[in-house]
Amino acid sequence: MDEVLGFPPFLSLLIAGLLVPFVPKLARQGLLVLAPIGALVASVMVRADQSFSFTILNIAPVNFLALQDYAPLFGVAFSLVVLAAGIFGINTAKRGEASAALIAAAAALGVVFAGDMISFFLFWELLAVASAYLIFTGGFKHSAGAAQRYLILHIIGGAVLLAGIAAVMVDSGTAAFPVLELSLPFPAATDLTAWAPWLIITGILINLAAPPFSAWLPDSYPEASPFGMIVLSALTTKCALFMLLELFAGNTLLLWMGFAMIIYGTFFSFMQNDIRRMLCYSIIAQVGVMTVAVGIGTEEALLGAAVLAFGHIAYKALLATAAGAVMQQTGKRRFTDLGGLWRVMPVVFFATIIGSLGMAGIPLTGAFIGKSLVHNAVDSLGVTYLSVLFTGTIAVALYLIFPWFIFMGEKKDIAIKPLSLEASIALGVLSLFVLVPGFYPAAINPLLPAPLTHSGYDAPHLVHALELAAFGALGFFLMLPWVKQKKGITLDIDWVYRVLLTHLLQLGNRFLHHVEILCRNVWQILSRRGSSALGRAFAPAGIVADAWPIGITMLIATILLCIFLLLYY
Amino acid sequence: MSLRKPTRIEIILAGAAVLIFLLLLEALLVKKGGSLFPFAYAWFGFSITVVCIAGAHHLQALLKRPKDYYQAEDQNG
Repeated sequence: MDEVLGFPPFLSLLIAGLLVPFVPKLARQGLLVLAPIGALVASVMVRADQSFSFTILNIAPVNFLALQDYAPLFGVAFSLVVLAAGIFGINTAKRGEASAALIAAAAALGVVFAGDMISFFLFWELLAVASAYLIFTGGFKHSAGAAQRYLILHIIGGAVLLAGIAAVMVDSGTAAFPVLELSLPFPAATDLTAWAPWLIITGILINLAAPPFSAWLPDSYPEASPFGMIVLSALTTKCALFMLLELFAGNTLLLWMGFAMIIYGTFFSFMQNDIRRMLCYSIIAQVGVMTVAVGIGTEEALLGAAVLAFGHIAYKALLATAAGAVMQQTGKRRFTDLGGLWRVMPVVFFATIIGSLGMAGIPLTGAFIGKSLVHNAVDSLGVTYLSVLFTGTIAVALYLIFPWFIFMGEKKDIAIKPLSLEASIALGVLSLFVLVPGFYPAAINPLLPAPLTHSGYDAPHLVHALELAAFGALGFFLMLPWVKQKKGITLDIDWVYRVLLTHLLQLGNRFLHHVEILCRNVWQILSRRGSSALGRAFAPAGIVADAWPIGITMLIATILLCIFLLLYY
Repeated sequence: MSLRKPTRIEIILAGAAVLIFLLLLEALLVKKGGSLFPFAYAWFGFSITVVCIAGAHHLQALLKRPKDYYQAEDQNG
């Protein structure tokens, strides 16, 4: 039965996204700013008793609106980032690009407020398609290829997820979100119901950019436009994290997966020369910290993961905006082409400092609250989980790369264009987004299932956060010659399908080509010899024209009849 | 009055002062029983950063290519 008892946050963004390609510029600019504000207000207003369900394909009513524990927190974060991106791209975003950004944001909000698995899957796929189009319209030489690879991988992930959802629905007879347990040892190949959670988590881990499915992120996001990158940096991986929070909290597999993400993301971040590729790898490292917290699974750890994600979305969007501003002002996107720009780009420099402090989890930023909660959760588990804490600190090492190699160090002689007003405003909005929860943690209480009981502002957490950042900086500066970026690109796991698989396909192609030539030659020889033999046989003096004795003729007739009998039976 | 640019030694001294101040605060915390893993954050903030940078530096020799290996055309990094 259709039921409309609430206003889903995705609706304003979806309608705006569909309208944007067809309206004049002024209306487009208005929609880019007003639609995210509508989504922001709607995210805060959602109540537990609301629903928005429709019957689709005569299957069952699909519910597009439900209040999950951390949905308002993620909803507000997504809306704020799209608002800032809308301001940033108010004059530069193309029609298709603006439309794709709004639809992708609508899909992300649809995922976090999904009322059942069908609506969750529909929005999950819509997010993949809209994001791929956003990358496609990036305007760089490799944007189209990157978008294709992004789409292929996410469609495969979506198919795996759908198989898992279908198995769960067949087993339970309902589309409601189930309680999922990953069974170990692996179930029998024929037991599809027992495999369902594994299929669902595989689909989610692909979107989370967990190894070995991680290379799509640094491959595709840097090929989006500066506007597109801001939107993309906030959505896909955080939607995946949200689903892990809701479906797989406390699973030990996530603890190890988070470790792998932290180590992989951190190491590869240090090797990048492209500013935005570096940011992409650092997303993987920091989402890894949240994944570890989800793997711990205590109430405090889950709250920490959600609040940390809120802070992470803010500072990552701020750094993506700063990177976009650097690209717009200098026309450069590589660390080796930049340096010493803090005097000529003061606004972007200060925004970058705020974003980097957020990345380091310094007090007075939103990420500090989340990190304190995660560290508290680890403390409460005791020495057994000491390794969790130590590994979690790895990602802190990254926070100096971005500001140091662009704004400090050796000054490069670069022509600088003035910073646009809209970029300054976007940087300001996102800086506030990073700082307000840090200065006033109670501001996020209305977005949480229960108010924060601990904000991290006590002596141990303050000292520890500052120690991590300061001693990390000491290590960074002592090792500076080794951190210095080099020209070139770094091979990643995508080498397997972009190089190895291509080579194997080429090898197979060459083999088949040779087989084809061989077959053709053999056929030519056989047909030539066969036709000359037939010619000789049927010639006036050939064997067929010869007079045969009656005995041989009878023998041939008998053999033919025997063959006929054999074939008949 | 305009501020002059600090010299390298002044920056190093200021940095060292901050680090020593933080270590003293941590010592105070340890004394009051407010630190479950004494000095762990300082030590791992430093050592893990160094290990990561050294690791990435050596991994770079294996994985870095001077041109765009995937596209077979030089993008100059």
